[in-house]
Amino acid sequence: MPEITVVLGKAMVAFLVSLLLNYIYIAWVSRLRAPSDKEVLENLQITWKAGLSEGELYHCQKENDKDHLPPLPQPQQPEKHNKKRINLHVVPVKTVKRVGNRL
Amino acid sequence: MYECPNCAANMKFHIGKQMLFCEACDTSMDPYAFQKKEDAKEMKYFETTVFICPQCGGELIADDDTAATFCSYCGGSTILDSRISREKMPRYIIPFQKDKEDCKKAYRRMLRYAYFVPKELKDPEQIERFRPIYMPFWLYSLKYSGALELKDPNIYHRKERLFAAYRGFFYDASAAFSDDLANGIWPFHPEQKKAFTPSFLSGFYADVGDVDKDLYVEEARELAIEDTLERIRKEPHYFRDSSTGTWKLLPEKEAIDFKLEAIDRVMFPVWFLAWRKKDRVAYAVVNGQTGKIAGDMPIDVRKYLLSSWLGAIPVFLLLYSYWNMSPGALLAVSALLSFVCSVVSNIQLSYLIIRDNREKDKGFMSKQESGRLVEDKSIAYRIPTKLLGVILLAVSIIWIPALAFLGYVIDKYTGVGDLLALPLVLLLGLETPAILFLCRVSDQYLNHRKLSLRIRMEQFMYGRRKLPYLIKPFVGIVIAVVLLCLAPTSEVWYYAGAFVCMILTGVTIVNIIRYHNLLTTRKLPQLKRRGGDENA
Ligand SMILES: [Zn+2]
Ligand SMILES: [Zn+2]
Repeated sequence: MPEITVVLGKAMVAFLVSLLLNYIYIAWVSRLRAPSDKEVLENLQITWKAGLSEGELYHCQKENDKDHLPPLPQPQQPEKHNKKRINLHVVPVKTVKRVGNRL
Repeated sequence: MYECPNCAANMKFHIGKQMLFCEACDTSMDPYAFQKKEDAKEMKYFETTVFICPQCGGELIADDDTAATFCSYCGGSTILDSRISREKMPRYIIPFQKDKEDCKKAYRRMLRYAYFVPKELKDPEQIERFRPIYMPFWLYSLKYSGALELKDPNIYHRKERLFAAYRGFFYDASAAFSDDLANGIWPFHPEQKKAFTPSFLSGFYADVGDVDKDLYVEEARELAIEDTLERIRKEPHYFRDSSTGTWKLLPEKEAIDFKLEAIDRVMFPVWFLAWRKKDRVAYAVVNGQTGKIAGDMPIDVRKYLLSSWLGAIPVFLLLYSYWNMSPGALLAVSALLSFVCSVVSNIQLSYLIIRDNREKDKGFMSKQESGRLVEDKSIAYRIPTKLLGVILLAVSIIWIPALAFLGYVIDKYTGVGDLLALPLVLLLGLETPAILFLCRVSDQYLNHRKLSLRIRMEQFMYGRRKLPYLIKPFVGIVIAVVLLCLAPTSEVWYYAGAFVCMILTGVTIVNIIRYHNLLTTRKLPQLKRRGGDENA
């Protein structure tokens, strides 16, 4: 093959590479980004607390299937009632403060 | 009119001073000083002038006649109609904190490296058209106070109490302001809001909010529930592993029913610029509170080609000096370029689908007469099942071994063993999964997560309709693979194959640019106003 074909081939490859890279750059520059759920949550004022009162733990199928149930998890201080109760810790109030940039 | 107590000139809100200011005599005044006492709580409406664009129907509140010369929504330079109107009083406002200079600076910064945009976008006269517009948003607060039921599917049940409040969700309430631009300048900081009084608007513009107030409640609620479940999962106190002998409780999603604590109409400050080209319009917007900018950046094809030519020179010199090119290698490289091109066009297609369907832009959707804006009628359908997605995935997985087998068969019966053939066969086989993977990554990055599978499926269907667009680089790869497998003795075959392959790639790039310009400009808005929730 003559030299000219080789040069033309290389020139075409070079041009296509340049076109593609140029477009990838453009697509990157002109992208519009939406905030993720996590970012939206970080921008909110959240108050969240659970376990405010004494919790209650029991078997749901107690009536039907009394004999075959595994024992309930052992609470710290089991009470001697047929419905066992445990005392739950109070989870401290968690407030997520906004961390967005303020200009 | 807010008359200056000194000289009776019109006072306007001054961004630097955060006060009403009289330019004639340098007097500053508290915006609330003009509030009549009985107004403060009782007033539901305020009287103002509204300018209406005869071309697009966009409406803009302004007390200033300069509003009448051009339209900020369609970019048209027409004389706007005006009328006196009673507008709903927003509850809160975040006054502008960034002035026009800040805004122009941000705009120039954004365009500094955007050498490819049409020069009109950089025209100082065009930049002068930035307008400070208060955009209406809905501000939601959600609250749950009550029982928290945790349930193991089989055995345990547990009741507790939960108090959770999520305050400060905000959603664009203007059909004229598209959600992707609103997202682009996210976030606003609603905790800096002030009680609204109409004098804040003096010297500024405001959009007439028109999106129903409940439109985004479900979206906010879902996020609150998700976060709550996440917190419960993270709390070892509620969630223990049964394999270690401790118990495991699962919360029920339905058990946590967040109630709306408040919905408020609130005005957020946005610098707004529209650029019109024929029947398309591009926008640039700047967050008036933080200065963050987002904008549409269409491509000027001549600039794109010119910069690509310039960029090609060093690449060519490099190839010319260092690449000892064999005909087979040229063919392989052109197939590789086709592959890159096809990945790019596939990713772009998923954006096009989102944009064409405007799935995410609920505000806009709710104001379209058909309830749905579709630029291309051919994609206006849904795929009902997940089955298609599964089939697509299965095919893309089977694809690889199938092609490898094909390569093996060809190799065996033709007796050629060009080593280049195998990687190319693999490349071809990997294409679909690679595209799926890349789309997935880009989805996550852009938070299209929830739409993902359906969009993939729509993309598949859309892809079939847009086959000529997607198939070109693919055909190029196939030609290259077949030629490399057959390994003809004459070099002409390789050069011809590479030539065809590169032409197809070039044509695809032209299409990519065309679609990019469709993506970065919008149809002229056709706004049907006054359809909003009148009770809000
Ligand atoms: Zn004065
Ligand atoms: Zn207009």
